[in-house]
Amino acid sequence: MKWETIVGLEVHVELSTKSKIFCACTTAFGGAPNTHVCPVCAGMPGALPTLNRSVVACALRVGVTLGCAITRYSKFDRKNYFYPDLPKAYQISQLYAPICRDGHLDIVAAGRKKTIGIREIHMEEDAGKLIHDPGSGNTFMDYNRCGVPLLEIVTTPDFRDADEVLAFLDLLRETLLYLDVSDGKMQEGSLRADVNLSVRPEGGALGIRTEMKNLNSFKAIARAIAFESARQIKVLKLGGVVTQETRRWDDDAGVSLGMRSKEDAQDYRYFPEPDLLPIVIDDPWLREIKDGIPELAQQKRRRYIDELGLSEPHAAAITAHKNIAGLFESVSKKSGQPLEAANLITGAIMHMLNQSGTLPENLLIDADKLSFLILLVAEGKINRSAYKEAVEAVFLHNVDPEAYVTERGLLMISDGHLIAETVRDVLAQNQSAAADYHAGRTKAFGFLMGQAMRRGGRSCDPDTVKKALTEALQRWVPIG
Amino acid sequence: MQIDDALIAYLEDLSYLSLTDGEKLRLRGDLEKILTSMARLGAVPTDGVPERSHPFDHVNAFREDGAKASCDRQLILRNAPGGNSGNNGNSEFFVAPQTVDYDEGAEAGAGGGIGGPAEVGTEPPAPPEVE
Amino acid sequence: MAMAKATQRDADTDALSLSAAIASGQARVADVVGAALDAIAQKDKQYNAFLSVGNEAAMARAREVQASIDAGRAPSPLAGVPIAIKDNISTAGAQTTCASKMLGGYTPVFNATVVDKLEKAGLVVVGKLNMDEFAMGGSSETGVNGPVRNPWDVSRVAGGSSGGSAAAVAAGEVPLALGADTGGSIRQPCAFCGVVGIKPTYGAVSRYGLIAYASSLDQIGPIAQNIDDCAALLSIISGPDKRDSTCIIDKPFPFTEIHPEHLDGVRIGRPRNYFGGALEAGTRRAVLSASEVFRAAGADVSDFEMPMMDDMVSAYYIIACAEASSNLSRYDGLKYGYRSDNATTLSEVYRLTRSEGFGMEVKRRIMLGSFVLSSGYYDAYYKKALQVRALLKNVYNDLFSRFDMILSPVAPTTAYRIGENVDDPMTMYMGDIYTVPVNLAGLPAVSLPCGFDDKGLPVGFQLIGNAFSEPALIGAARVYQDLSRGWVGP
Repeated sequence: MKWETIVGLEVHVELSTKSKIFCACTTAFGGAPNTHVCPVCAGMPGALPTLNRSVVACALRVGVTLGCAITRYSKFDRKNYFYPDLPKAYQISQLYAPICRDGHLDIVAAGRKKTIGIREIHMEEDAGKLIHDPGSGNTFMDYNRCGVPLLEIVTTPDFRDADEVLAFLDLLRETLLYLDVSDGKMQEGSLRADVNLSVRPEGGALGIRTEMKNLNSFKAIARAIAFESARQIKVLKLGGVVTQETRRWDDDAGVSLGMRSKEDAQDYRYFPEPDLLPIVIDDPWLREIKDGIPELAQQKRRRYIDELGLSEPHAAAITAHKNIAGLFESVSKKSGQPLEAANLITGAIMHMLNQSGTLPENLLIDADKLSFLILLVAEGKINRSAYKEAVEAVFLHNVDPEAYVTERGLLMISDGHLIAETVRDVLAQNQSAAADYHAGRTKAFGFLMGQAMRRGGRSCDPDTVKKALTEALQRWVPIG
Repeated sequence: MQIDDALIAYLEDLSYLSLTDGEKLRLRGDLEKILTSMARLGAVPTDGVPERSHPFDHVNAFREDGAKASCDRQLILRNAPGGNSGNNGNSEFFVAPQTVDYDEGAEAGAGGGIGGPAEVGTEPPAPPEVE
Repeated sequence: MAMAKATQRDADTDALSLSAAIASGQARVADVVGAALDAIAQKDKQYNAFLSVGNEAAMARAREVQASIDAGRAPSPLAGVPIAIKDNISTAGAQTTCASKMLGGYTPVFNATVVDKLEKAGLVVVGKLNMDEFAMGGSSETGVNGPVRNPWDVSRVAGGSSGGSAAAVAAGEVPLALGADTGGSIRQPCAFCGVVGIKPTYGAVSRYGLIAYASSLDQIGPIAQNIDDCAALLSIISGPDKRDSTCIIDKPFPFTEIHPEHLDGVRIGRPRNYFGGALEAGTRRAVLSASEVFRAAGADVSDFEMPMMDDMVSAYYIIACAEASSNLSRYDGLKYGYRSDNATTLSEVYRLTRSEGFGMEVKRRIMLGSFVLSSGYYDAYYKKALQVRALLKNVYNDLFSRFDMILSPVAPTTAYRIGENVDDPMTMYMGDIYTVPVNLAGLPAVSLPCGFDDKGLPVGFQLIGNAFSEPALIGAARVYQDLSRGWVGP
């Protein structure tokens, strides 16, 4: 009997707004415990929430991009439960009127195209952090993260394997990056995915699902899906029943663990948040959002390949980071040499980035300077090795490229006379090699080229030298 | 409206309250009377009437994004209860006894996230019409 | 054009007279504030209106305000006047307990917006006032520091939940107080104590710093001996506040001293069914005679039938308890307030702290609230109540197309004896029958004394207006006070 695994995702995205969703505390990561906190996010008596407009704007950007229907009259609701990381003992979230509904994201997994449905997107506030200290038998509560804005993106259970899940998350992350709403870093917690998984015999009815949390990397997600799928299949094969529950993924042990709490089924007693007013999205606002959506990575890749002639691997490498794509576009435009620009960025620049340990998103380099150098090499004014050297100097020391090539005499000598003279000298001094060449030993040409380049210096354009040498050899007659 | 022990126990759990036997007895009687009276609301015709959470129709109260200075940590922690299981003067954190009742899974682990167990059973009410 | 200020002012003790004397140099702030502190020290043992008094802070503040006035900076028409504040309004550095064990010793680190406004206006806060625990009650008996005693008869309740606020003014301890009204908690104690109070339009006064009971119903309001003082205080505490999204008023109510000469053409409606069997005879008599005063002033007084009268209390308690159950969940012994000494595990901290920290009425309302929000009951109770609220709003919209104001009793009885209703929540709740619809609809109402019953206890009535019609209500109240007997203390 064949088994099918059905997976849905609940993805939490930390938004990169400057302030929290319901108060003006900073969302900056880090910070000593309880130093990014105020009466509102600490849940003090009498404090009230105020809604950050940018959070709504982010939600709309994502919703529009994912093809969602925008809920024109949206509101917040309270989700009530007790836990030390939740100071008000309720989370302000959206249940009854989430800001976006019914979207989709088209993915490619294992070569197959697939559409994943987005059931809804809603806004909510994050909870604090708990630090367990078994030694003292205490749990420490840090509220810095309370109130950091989250978008929760809920998919329909369209996934059938881990490849699809990872392809989705990858594309989602890239989309969020390009929309400038989040840095989507799983390892830092700004992108979290909970996996809802059930199994069924092929063609059978939908099974009972479990929810897995604490999945902190793509690898963990893949492993967790494999484990949980196998676990549930085993349970069912043995005639048991899958318990509907939340399970915690333990990546070290490679297992999912059921909760010990007796309060598995919680009544959250959702009701509309009376301290906040409803949100009405009018046409002008929606238009403003739509107009403000930038070109996304996929569109850029398409354009680079179709219009600029880039290869797929280059297009993919460049669009992996938004600022790299921005750099490429700038350099490409200024120099008019997209292929050179692509080679440069995916080659030398990326190499130096890796060497220096700088993250791509932190790259700061002057596009004008790079363009200048590209033009020099394209016009034959410097040779490739000089080019590489100058680029490195710009990367490391931000030199002025014009001054740099001039001072180091890197500008090519294409002066026909000088080169002709050099070639003449070389042939005169290497009669036997010339004779060998005429006798049919083509290797002699390489030798003569080497001599000519060495004599001419770095600033000789090899192509010009080659041409001159070839011509000279054709006319050569042995002396004496 | 019949209020039985199971319901009282359920409400105690939801509210994280523990009533004495005497209080429970009183509460049963009180709740019965009150809820019977409230149930009369069922007779008021409300088909198609939208729910009103606020007494006015204002919408769109926003704050512009922008971080402002947070509260001094000392002030945030100033009222934290002391005592045996209390803060004991911890100057950085609020202090709770080890959260062993919930598996750490309720807290969604190091990546953090929203605690609370999975929502089970009840489907949320049908969403209102999108305008 | 403006009538002479009525005999309603007790020249020595009403707020505007005091501030005028201070402004003209006839009185010093320190003396006025000192007199209030003395009155409190002398009298409050009888009434238990105060939970805390800040002698030093008040005198220090008095000196500051005096300096400001001497420098020619008169901050407001009430500069220098002492005021006391209900103990669910946050005062930075001064305890704010909501008359609950749960917040015993809690000292907020921020001021409520209204407190900031008072300070800016040069008023001097002298102390915090007793109330029902977490504002849940109609008699100020459920607080942990004992009941407030009615200055008219100390064996009787002062009303609630702002009993301390009304009693302190009635007793002449302070000329001004702030209360808060969720289902009648300003108006009813004012009626029981024979003073004037205003429940403003929902959204006219910031709730930031008011320790929440029911978020969509709570409003802070002024209490004083007369309508002019109330109006002045309202002009100071009302106004927009970015920290409260529900505070939608665009600017404070202006303070004027204009007393209309008559009420010609003003249409006043009386809900006929409010004057039925549940209303005590003495109260009925006094309220009806008040409406005759309006008629004599030229108003067109007629009767109407108030729809859904018996359902309002249910709708109110469902919504209020639901919101309260959520608002009070944060009291868990972990961040502020009381923590049980008997607790070792987290579960115990929550359960024991809350069980020991809250009184019975609070627990009752929390459990009721949890019930009406719980799945399976949400639709029949909470959702239903929200729908009934929508219907009520339509009812009032219709009424205010036919009337300019509505005149009604505030409570079915006058002040009852302490302990009489404490074990009977249903009777307690039905006492709110005339006041709760006003909160559900977010409307303003002024509570005014209109005489006494045959036991000699004060009776009050309320004038209800459409949203943000406070200036009109105040005008009508001024006419009423000018034509009726002056301020009478116990």
